[in-house]
Amino acid sequence: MKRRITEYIFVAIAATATAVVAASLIAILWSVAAKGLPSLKWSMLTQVPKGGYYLGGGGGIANAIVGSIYLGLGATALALLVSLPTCLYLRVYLGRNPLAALVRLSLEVLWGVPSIVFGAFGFTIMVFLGLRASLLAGIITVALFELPIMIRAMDEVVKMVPAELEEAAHALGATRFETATRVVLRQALPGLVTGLLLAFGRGIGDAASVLFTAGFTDNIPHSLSDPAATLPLSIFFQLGTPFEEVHRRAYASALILTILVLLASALARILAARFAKHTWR
Amino acid sequence: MKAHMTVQRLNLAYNNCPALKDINVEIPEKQVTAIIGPSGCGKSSLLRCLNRMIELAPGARVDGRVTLDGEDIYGSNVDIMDLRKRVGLICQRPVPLPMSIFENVAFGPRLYGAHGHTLKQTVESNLRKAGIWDEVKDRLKESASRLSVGQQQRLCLARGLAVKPEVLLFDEPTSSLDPVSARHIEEQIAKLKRDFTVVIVTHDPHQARRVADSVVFLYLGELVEYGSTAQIFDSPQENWTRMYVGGAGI
Repeated sequence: MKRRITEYIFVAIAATATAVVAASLIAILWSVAAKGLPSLKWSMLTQVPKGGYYLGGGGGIANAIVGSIYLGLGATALALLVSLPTCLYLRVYLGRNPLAALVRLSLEVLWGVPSIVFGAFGFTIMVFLGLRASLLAGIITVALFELPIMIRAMDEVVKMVPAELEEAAHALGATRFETATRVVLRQALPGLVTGLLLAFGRGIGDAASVLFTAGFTDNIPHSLSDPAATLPLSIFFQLGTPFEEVHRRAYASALILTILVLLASALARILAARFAKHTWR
Repeated sequence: MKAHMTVQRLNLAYNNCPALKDINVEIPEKQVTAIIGPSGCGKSSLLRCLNRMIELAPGARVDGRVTLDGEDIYGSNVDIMDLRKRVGLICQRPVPLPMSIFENVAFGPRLYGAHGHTLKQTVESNLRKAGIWDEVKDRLKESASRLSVGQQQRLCLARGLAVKPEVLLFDEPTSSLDPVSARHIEEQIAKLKRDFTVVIVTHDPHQARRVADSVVFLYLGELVEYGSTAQIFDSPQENWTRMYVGGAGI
């Protein structure tokens, strides 16, 4: 009887916790959609801010949408270039070497560092390299912010690739590099895509890391050296005004950002399912 | 009978804990040699010493000499990838690579530069040799993981054969299979010895008797007895061997 009561208590706690998580997500989506949808107009998506936009004037936030997409894609691509070799090196070459544990510990610490610190660090690099606030500086900073997230997410996936697969490839005379790129990578691909888009979602939604580095402009960036507006900063500036109409547009902007992140998550799921076709289970 | 491989004064330790002690044995060319013994006696470890796969095990240290066609495979100038191509390993549990049936068999030949029509022919001929062609010829693009376990094991055999090895090592190849699939594999092994030297690890003395020409009996990391299958099963010289093959248990 005591064991059964313990079971009931555990189920009740677990169900409540799950309900809290689900309710929080629904509440956030509902609040953003309810306040943002009425103000969401086609012109918001297609036009850049016109004079006095932040005082209630016309125009839209196409500059921030495009800036965020450029920044998110650029930073994620840059982070991927570093993350993928790192996680393969940790698994295939370092294995149980203490250095691998040290690298993982460092990445966990970096994951916990607030994004404003990455922003400040990015600003230091920017000054050192003689860059001004630009899309490139923003991309580098957001890539640094995404790196620990992406590597740790990918590392967990790559760690789960069965050792027998590596052994099977080695038994055919494959080198470690061939094993890593042709077997381990293929088996881990669905999880790697999820890790990639998780980092993209975090990168595109972060405001603090681009505050000093990407700048802000009413124009769509045409080169890496142009400053770039981002959706999180656009929301921040709109909410900072005293005008009710601009506040509602901020919620519409937040809705657009949420939809972008949801689309990235949906794409991750579709691609992961597609790449899982050949994985060994 | 000419020895294809020889094992001389072989010792193996995992993190300084001995696993094989002073093993001396000859593997005859184009015959089936079975390594038998109770669980934990070092059968798989000895098998993996024959193509240096043992070096992938953490903490493994090998001491002694293993030759292939008279050349020491632990020599400093040996190309380990080439060695593993020449001495193939079929694992206990079938492990299809995360790709299609065709790509699984093509994986090895591709590493060595095969492509186009030659590659297609290689895939087909090795699927035939492994006795699985008729079952998969219309579904070569399907995922290999969708095959049954027995089919997967024969696919792994085709994949191993596709790199044209000289010696084939089987590590308990039927232990995860049903009796029908196991019989399939045994039949393939019997055919393979026409072209390959075969070494098979099995914990089943009856299987060793069915498929092997000579038998190595290991116990607690030591070689207890080595001889022809008839000698080991009909007139064993050692008491441990008599108890094990007689089914009395040790």
